Amino acid sequence: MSLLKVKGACKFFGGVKAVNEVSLTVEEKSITALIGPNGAGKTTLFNLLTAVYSPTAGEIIFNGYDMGKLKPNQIVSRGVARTFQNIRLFDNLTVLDNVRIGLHGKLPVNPFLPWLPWKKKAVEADAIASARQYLEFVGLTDYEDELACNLPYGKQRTLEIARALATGPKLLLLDEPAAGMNHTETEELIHLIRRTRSAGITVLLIEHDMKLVMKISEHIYVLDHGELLEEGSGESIQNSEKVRTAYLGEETEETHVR
Amino acid sequence: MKRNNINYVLGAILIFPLVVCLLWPTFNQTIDIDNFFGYGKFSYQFTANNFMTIGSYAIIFIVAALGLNVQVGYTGQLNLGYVAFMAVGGYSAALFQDANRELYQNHPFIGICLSLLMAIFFSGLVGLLVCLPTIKLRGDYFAIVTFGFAEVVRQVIKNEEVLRGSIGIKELFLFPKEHVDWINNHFFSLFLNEDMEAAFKPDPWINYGFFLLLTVIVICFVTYLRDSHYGRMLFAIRDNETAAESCGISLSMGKIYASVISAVIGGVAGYMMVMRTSLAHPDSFVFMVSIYALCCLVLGGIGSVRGAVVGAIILMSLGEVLRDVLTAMPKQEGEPLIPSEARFIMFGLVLILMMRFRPNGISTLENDTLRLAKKEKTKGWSKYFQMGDTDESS
Repeated sequence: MSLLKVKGACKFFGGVKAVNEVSLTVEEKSITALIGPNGAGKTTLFNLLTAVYSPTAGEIIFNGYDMGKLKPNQIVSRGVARTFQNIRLFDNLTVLDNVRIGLHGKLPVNPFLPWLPWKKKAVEADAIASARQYLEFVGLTDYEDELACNLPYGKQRTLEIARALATGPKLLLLDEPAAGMNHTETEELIHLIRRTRSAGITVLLIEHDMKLVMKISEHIYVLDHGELLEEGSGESIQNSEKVRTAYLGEETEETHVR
Repeated sequence: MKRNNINYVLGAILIFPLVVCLLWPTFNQTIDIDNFFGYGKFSYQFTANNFMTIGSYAIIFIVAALGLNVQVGYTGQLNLGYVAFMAVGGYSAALFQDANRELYQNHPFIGICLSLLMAIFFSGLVGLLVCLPTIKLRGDYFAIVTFGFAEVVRQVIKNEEVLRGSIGIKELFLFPKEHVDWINNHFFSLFLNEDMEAAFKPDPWINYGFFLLLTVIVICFVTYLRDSHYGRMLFAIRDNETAAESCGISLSMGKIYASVISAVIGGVAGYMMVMRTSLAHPDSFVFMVSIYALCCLVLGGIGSVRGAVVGAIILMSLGEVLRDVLTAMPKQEGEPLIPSEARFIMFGLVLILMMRFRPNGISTLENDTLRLAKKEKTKGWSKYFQMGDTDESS
């Protein structure tokens, strides 16, 4: 069953067609990758999915709902969480607090409630317990009391994933999770993504690290110039002439001579 | 990670008598210099009355700084027109009291509760009204709108017949004269000698006690907010709006929440201000008042409760003492040697020194919300004052 369906999504910034008529389907409990050269519109598509931008045209259907007119925070409560390409953590708060903010949507929404001491105590105890679970899941338990901005780069990315997981998503959007990570960290990340999937969460990721993409993704979409270029399994993408052209440029007579 | 509200409560309750005891020997002492640098006679007397003036002024600004802190420190929205909330709170209480003077004379407690509720309700309402059109504004633009709004409020008060225009509302009181006298007569004759009694009696001590109670409540309130998940929501908005939204936080709800709470606390501060001087006048709600509150916050450390309290006490008592000292300066042809407005130089000096040596304020202790003190990434409070939209979206 497909969890996410994008039908002909378009996003134009003036005359620039950042995303043009892109249609894709993400199967439930799968790992799907979205690749493409720089400026292909991958992040714009993510921003459309999380309602940071509203689509110029097209439909985004998640789990049977039309997501077109929702606000970013409503999308989160429907079960789509994301991480960012340029890390966006709450720098002045501790690691634990960052994850607790991710839990915000699950905590009581009555604005007068925090003023009842006994309620607050129970709510906070619950929040801390479940935040610790998420930290354990991604392996950041030892860093609990650190400030988010003092974490090493790779850990910051992991923390972003933990925060996204804390919102309780059905679909997790990862925007270049391996960017700036070293080999070991990438290996750990692969494990983490696989564990996330086995926890029943569908993963859609943007990534430039082809080794990682080929290793974990079941289905790959290739974007170029805002348009869908190719889709298929890892192998078929590797052998695709079109994809090769998009990444490396066309083979012409001239290049052969040189 | 453990923070105790009780520390603040005890601190706030104990610090006042403690300061009175410490300053006890200085009360009614006169500093006389016959020839002050060859200009004439300098005579300065520090009385119990002086102390109360300074203390109550500091207390009002503790409350104002704490309220402003919710918006500036917690949510990261620079509000330059905080005095508008104070004016609305003060004026709604004053107008209500003016219309129901009988009630206040006969049942002071009911009267006080009602006018406090009025102040809270109307300032909260105004906080909501200001917030709604400014939800999408950030940084300087938000600051400009709030600054303009404060000026609008002041001009409306000044020119509106219903609000008594530039005459103001006079002869307001918190507790009626009889109550104040009764407390003073029965309280001070217990353990003061006659000289001291004469020094302390003219002050409505019961009013100051009430102000102190309000301050303690406000301190509890803001620490409680800071530690709750609604406080975390505000910090998230401060640190990164986009990321906050991606965590399921509604920006508009968060900002409205912060603005209303901030306005309500501002209303309480305005109420205290009006009741302290027993006069509601547009000239006591000028732009400088919001700048004072902001200065207290910057001095103490933006985002920290302790900082707001410490900053307000230091800055306001310094300002008031300086005013008294400058007025005591010898006069020349009827003009004072140094005008008492010169004390504003001190505000600027303090801020410059702060920015140079402790850009995060006096109180950047580890447990506070802006935990930057000993850390690598020190951005300081200037972070909240940068131009417009700094989010570089990918």
